[in-house]
Amino acid sequence: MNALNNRRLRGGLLTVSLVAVIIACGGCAAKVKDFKPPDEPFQDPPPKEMIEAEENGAIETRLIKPGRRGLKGIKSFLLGDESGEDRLSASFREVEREEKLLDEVEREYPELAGVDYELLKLARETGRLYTLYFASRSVTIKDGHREVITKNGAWLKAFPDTGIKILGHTDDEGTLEYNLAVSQARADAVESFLIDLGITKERITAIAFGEERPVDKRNIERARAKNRRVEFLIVFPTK
Amino acid sequence: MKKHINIRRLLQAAAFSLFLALLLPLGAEAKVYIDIDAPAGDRLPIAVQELSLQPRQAKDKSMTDYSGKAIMDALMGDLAFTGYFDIIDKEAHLKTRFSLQKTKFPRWRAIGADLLVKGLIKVSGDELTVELRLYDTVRERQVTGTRYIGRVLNPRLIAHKFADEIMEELTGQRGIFSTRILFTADKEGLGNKEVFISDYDGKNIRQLTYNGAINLSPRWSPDGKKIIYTSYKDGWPCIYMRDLISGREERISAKPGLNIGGRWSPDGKKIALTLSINKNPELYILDLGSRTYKRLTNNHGIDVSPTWSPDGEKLAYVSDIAGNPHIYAINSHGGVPTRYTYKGKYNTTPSWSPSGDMIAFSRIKNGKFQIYVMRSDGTGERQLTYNGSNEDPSWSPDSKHIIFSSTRQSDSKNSSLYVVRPDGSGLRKLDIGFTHEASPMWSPYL
Repeated sequence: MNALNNRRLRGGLLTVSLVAVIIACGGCAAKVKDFKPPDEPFQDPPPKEMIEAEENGAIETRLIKPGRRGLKGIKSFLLGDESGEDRLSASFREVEREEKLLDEVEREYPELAGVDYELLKLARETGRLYTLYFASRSVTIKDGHREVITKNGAWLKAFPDTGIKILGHTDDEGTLEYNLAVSQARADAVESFLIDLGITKERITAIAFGEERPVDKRNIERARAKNRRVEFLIVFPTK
Repeated sequence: MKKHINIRRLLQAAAFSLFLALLLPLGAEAKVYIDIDAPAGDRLPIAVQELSLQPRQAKDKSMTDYSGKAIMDALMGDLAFTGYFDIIDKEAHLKTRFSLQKTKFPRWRAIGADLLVKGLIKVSGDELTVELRLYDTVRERQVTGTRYIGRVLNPRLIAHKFADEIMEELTGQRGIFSTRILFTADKEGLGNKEVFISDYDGKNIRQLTYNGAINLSPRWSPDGKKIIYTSYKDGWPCIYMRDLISGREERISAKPGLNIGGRWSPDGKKIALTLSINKNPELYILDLGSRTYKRLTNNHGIDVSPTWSPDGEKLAYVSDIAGNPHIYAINSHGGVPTRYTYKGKYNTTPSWSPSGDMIAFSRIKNGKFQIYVMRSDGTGERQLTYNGSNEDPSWSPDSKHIIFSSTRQSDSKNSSLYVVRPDGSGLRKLDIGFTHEASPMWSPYL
């Protein structure tokens, strides 16, 4: 019944908007003006988790999949529904109200305060942390990138239940097996750095992909630079 | 499985026919028609007469016709591939009534043929009988002849077997026409490499893996009955061994990190491979009996792509211990490596010839990989390719040909498989038609 009402109301609103457009356009036939419809009074209901969050303070029950135990409420929302692995081929999901949420998060979870804001968003939206890039055939982490790994490390400390897959890649210059070894060495260098930051080895899996998984297949240096990378895929706690 | 039985039957038939052939009047003296070590000897003119379809009014005519064409096509291809023959144009052939028993040698001599292949083909049900004979038209005698009885699954195999026989008779060395090629390709262009197997000429392709993960570097066992390859089907690069006859498969190396570049030792008992368990990709030798690893290299560089010398005493491999990737050789029991290449900034994928005296490899020159060969002591380099990017050389079991992948016919990075002789001559493309054909490996004699 409620839904029906809603639909009627929306239908009415649409008609009103259309009329408004016609009037607006009629007034200025020669020029096209931007028309902004009035704010919609009836928005989609807030996500289930938000209702529960309001009712219970923090939610234990939201979409708990096997292996998601131990993650609480908003923090669990921030972590997202799908691991980086699940999302490898999936498109990015739309996330609403994240900024408001993040403010809340900082209040409720002080340990998240030190985590890079953009990184929290990135992790929520893509299931990944920042990607690192390497010079041609180099397996050394660039000086400028130490800060980036440190940010990734801070995120990992804030979500201690997660694991991380470190995927090493190369560009397509060079031969397959040598490139596999280079990509492994890159992933291993990043793993060592994370361990130095205090992330336990058990949480980390380093996998080499060599030149097999380019993000940009064009035959130009700019594309090759994008492919020489180490990716961080968030792994949810295992069952 | 079916195919195997078929081949076995074929071989039995071949053995029986050889026995029959012995009963035919054969010259006892051995004559070497072709000196395979002569640099550029004269080519032998050979005529291949159209196979006679028997009986002519057979109800299986279309099948006979098809098989006959396939056999002729494969046989001509094999003979041309050797580079030892001038195949006389069919148009020049005489219109004589076919008789397997009588051959009008003077008339074949008249069109310039020193050698003549003729034969007949008969299909009844799914049984195929093919009789092929090779004649010396100058001496007016039969050189060799075989009757093959098998099923109509792969008529080309009959041609390959007979071409092997022709080569053995004429050169004293076994032909390579019934050998096969392992390679990886992205057949559908979906971004996943699967393992394939084909005849030496790129025909008769079979897909071996269907796992949808990345599959790399397939290698033959020395007896040609098994293969090993690297696959990501369990999430990271592990090495798998598959029995080609039973199809049974086993994961033989699954250490954390890399398990890549597996290469079978010539005695079939060990596998050389690269592991990264100690945080630095190093060469190891896996004993297939005890399943224990022995570490071979120990340095701060990357060590990959080993290749065994045919006596199993040494391994050549790629190391960037000196900064750039270069080829080194090490005793298979360990020791101090010897550096083999100094020129260029990137030398890689060494492949030791089965004859033991040569190593093929690829080197970046002017931004592109080219195939080179050198003597097995690291001296006497020679460049074989000049166009496109050319990688992953692998030798034929007679050490007379090298197969490799090349982008020469493509403006993108799409590679196809090519074959070249170690002197740089006889370059030809295998007609496979997939995308990203790579990592070819030539089988041993099968």
